[in-house]
Amino acid sequence: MVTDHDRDDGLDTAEVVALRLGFQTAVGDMHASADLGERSARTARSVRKRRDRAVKIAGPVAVLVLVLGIGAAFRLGPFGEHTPAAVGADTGVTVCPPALPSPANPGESGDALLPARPGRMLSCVYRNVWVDGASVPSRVVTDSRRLAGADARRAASIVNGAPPLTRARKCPEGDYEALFFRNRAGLEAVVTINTCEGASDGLRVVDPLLGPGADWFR
Amino acid sequence: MEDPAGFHDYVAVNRDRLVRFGWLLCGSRTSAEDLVQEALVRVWLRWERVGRGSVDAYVHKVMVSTHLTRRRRLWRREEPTDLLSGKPVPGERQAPDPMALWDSRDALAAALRRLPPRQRAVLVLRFFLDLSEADTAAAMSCTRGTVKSQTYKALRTLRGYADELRDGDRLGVRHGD
Repeated sequence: MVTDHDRDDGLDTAEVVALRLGFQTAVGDMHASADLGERSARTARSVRKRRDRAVKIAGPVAVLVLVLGIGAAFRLGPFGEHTPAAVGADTGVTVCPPALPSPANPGESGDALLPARPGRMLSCVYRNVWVDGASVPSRVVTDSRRLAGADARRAASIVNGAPPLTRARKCPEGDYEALFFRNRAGLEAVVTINTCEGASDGLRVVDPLLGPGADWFR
Repeated sequence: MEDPAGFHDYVAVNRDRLVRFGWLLCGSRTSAEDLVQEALVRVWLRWERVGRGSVDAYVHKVMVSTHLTRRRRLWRREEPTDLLSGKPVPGERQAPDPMALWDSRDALAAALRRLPPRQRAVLVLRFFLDLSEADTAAAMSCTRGTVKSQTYKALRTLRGYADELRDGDRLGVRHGD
């Protein structure tokens, strides 16, 4: 029951054997419903049908949205407000850079970087990704999102209270995600979130709205 | 609309193993079947692109990510479990032999519930599905370093729990005297 992997890892083999046996014993008599495959296939067929139907109507809708969007772009600010003056209270970036920028001023002064009520803003989430077996560091991920209202206020509170980066480097490399913010005055901040130990690493637990993985250890 | 060729054969051969894997991940039979079904739906939709050789890896990855995402989304909500709490059941036999600590479904379920979802997933992938560190890292979309650290922490937690069980057993003996 002890594999080469275990020996390579230097794991306590008795412990691993007990665990393997425990797993096998616990679930050995468990059987799936006989119709699991058919149920899955039936659900998948209906999903496929809905998708096909959606694609048929998506074309005309997309054109309509494009036309309306171009028209609206001439009237709206970068965060969707109706007048340029309303943007004055907003912070953030309008487009996430593809790679995590090094903050020009990492916000160690203790001054609040963002207003307590920042309005709408983008939070850009970065993490290492694996491409063909190689780690490409700190690429922007699709969880980057626009924040508003209470979410944005919570983000501002976290950004303003985040510890300096040097205090947050206790996890293995690659176990970090980062949020990048830039305010309208050009001040930049990177908030690092570890994904290996959560709050016990000297870094705050960040709300799931802000970064994937941060609440996996709740 | 026809099902992809080979889909039902794959399910017939692997469904028990997948439900067992799902149960070890989430601790509930109902959630386990839901998890497997969700993964199989996604496999059905991408059957041609996934390729026969990679179906297992794809299913494992989908199940783990779906489970972790679901946990993140629903962590405030009630979740069905097969047992009522993670504490040892009074009167339950607590074996002092470390090799026999996890010899029942209840004991193992109680122990697994002590672990954060990612640590539990690492243990199950490595020691139930017997994946290598690299394959486990791929299934969890993380680095091998993370797999190592999560494995270490999970085993440490289980060890602590086993000590608690043993201490409880010893106290039980004294009280019995």
